[in-house]
Amino acid sequence: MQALAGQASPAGLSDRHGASVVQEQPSTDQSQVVKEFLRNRDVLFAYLLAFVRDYHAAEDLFQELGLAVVSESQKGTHPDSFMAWARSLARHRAMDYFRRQARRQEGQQNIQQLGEVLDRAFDENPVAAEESQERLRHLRECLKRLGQRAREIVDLRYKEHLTLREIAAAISWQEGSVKVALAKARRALAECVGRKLRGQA
Amino acid sequence: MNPSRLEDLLDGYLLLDLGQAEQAELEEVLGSDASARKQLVERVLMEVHLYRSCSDAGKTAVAVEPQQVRTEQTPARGAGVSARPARWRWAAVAAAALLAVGAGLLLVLWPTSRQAEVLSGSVLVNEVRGTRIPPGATIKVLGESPAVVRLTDGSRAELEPSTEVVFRKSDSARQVLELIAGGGRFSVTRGGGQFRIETTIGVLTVLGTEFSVRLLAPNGHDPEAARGTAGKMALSVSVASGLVQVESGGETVTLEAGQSRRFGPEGDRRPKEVSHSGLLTRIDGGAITILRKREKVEETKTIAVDGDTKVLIETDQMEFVPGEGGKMKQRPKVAQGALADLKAGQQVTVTCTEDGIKVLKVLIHRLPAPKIGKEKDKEGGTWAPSQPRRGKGGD
Repeated sequence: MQALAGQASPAGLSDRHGASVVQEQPSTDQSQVVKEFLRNRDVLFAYLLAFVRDYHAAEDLFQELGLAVVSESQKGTHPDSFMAWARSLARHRAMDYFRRQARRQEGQQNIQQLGEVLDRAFDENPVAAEESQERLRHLRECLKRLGQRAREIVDLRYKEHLTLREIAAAISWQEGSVKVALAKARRALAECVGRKLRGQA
Repeated sequence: MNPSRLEDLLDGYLLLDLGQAEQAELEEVLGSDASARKQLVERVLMEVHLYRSCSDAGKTAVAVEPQQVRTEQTPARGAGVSARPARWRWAAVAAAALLAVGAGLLLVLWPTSRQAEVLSGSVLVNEVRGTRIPPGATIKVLGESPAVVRLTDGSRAELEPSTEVVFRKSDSARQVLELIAGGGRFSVTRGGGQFRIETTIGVLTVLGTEFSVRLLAPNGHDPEAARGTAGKMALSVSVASGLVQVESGGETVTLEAGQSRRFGPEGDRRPKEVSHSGLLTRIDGGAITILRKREKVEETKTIAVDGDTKVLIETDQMEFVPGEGGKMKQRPKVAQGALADLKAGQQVTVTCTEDGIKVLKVLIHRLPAPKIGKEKDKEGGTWAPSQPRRGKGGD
């Protein structure tokens, strides 16, 4: 996997992952950092979820991230690029998570590469907080249009947090069928959201 | 790459269900194809939005007020109970954020799981290895590592190896755990009714807190050996934050942050503590003297201090802490001080050993000292009480 080259920040400070762009300033508006965090929480949560691929673990890491952001803001840390800085904090926590979980069977190098690819993906495709909120609003409308069975499966997965196997047992389906049905539902929802974003609802 | 193939690979990736070849295939396409990376971002964001949207039916809107939120880095999983579960995770972060922002905020919280869930460690649930714990189930921690369990109310427990707990159903409390053997560390969310832990030695009622509890076998450490020997067992409770009320042997004791106590047939091995509030009148080497009023009579107490004596100083900042019945109350934050900070004329609360010999802790109050006794003796730095008499006991 191709690595993303690290770029030094304007302040000349960059972590070993290359993306952190942070400088300490004595007088900063700390609430601005916290507000940015709250505005962009979905995207940051998505970044963590993409990393660890475990919803509850991502929640834990997101909490740690939030506390770290608040703590840093209280110290007067002022990031030039909030998202790059926050992602850097998130990545450190995700790395710690992998270390704690002893999931190094994937190979530390692979995890490092994973982080680089994710950074590259999120860098290339920034999702503004407003756009994220718009997508969420459209998705809620699109969910109402899903067929009953599809909605039931989506709810079991995303509301009840059941695994595919548990969903299959709950509705007496094969696990593979659940996987296909979920994929179809997601595709339909993505298309619906896309149409709404393009104003073709 | 065929879009549906990429979709399949991303599905597998997010479900941690990719083989080595598929993993390599995905890595290659993500490394070389910008549209694939875009699809990854959109797919993960969709995943997050689905979790949020589907939680709408059970969403809870709460006004979060600044409360006792620890803004320091939470310890690593497995090293203690720190991470907070779904329902209040966002609230905790936002509340912490509020401390910085200083403004009101209405939050839409994320959903809770319906069943307690084992987050790490190996556990038998009703004699079968499992990760979901239905109400009424008995669990036992297997192996040498602790098990971390997310409870239905959002609280979290780190249970020691060999610990055995029954997740009791209750209409009167949000969560009742019956500790059969072993122990653990608990991080309990605030509000939502009583959280109780019942043991053969005593019952703990928790008021939003972090604490440890352990049933001690006669041999001191073997939880397995403790089964069926309730008459000889003891219960150890240690509170990290908040309040825990313990009913044991006909006695009800409230423990606060920093306090530990042992209950059971062997009794409390720690010396009990008593507190005295009054005016600090003299600091003399290894002892301090306080003046206090009891039933309109002033009395002085002189108690020894040493390097172990803890000194705390109230600051101008306020914090919220759980009070009676779990209701939050406001009190000044305290900072760590030293014996050198003690000055005659300060209003203090002194916590000392029951025999009144040694001061364990001195809290210097921020409020100005009330006028008790006569004027200050400038030479000696002492206060001369008008009608002193020696007191013997505690409050």
